[in-house]
Amino acid sequence: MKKEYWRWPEYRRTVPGKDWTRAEVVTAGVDVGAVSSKAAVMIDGELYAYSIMRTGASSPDSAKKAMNWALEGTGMKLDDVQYVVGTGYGRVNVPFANKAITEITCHARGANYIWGPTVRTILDMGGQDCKAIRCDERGKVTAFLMNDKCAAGTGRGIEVIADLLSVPIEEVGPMSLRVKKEPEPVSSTCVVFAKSEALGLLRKGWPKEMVLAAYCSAMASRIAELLRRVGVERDFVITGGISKNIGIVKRLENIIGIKALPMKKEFDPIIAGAVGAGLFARDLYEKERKDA
Amino acid sequence: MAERKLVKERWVKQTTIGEPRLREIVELYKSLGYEVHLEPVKLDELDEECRRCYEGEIDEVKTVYVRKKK
Repeated sequence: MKKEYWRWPEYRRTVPGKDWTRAEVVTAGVDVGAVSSKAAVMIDGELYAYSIMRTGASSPDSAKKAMNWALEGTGMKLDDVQYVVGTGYGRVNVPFANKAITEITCHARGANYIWGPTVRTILDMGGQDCKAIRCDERGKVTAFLMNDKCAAGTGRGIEVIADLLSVPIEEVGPMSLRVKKEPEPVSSTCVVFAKSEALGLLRKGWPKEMVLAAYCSAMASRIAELLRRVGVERDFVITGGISKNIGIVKRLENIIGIKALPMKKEFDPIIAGAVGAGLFARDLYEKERKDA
Repeated sequence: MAERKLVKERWVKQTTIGEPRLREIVELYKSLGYEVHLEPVKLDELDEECRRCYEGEIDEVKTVYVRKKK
């Protein structure tokens, strides 16, 4: 069987030292993205458990699987969750969600929770899109920009290049930094054209790290343009899968002249949208309870 | 509408995108106090390398312009 170099680790986690049976409000956010599905279970507004897995052919199934996996081993059942908000590309297809909220709104709220109220700019580099978001001290969106309908410069593009070069996806970033001199960026980050350009460079005798550097550099330039248009204000944070690609992050920071806040050990930046959705779920649940 | 005319009328180009994202970002821009204008996309105006991805769904893809409400 051919090795799948693009495959990133799917996992679940329960935050240690928390007892959900003592919680007053249990909510969840489910972020069904084009490439990955995430579920975050919150107890009294704090992250309790989460899961990250690949999105399958069906959004409702992916939502269910992500949610069930997040609950696995906790003793909690879906019925114990009082309110669920769906977000992401497939947010309207989360069958057990009480409400759907856009992921731009949820990412801002999630970043505010993860990094704190000083966050003003969020870059969400997802599987098939990229969003630059500005927010206030409460995590409320004040401006945003989304890339064009195109997988260029997104996680899917990195997956394709990883597979093409037979480099495990987690090593793409570090390997791209092992060049003595930065090569010219590839001329296109379009998934289709970058693939043929990368093949051409390999045929010319370029080592893999040079090809990866050229690709990461092109992606960083493309993302920087999106940020330039929306304006970057500190504190700046990066969410989504590509936040783990050090080759793109370093180059991006060099271009924009601003460093992103480091990732928090206890939070995977991929779950920011799901966490934001879980926090909105709590607000909505409290509001419903008050109104009743 | 021609790009020049749109710019003259203070419209600022944001992105070119199709459903389901289109509806989402239109709602979000409106909630932020912007007026939204959607411009159809013509295949022959696209870069050659982009055309193949837009073919077949060109009718649902729009270019989003926004401007702050007066």
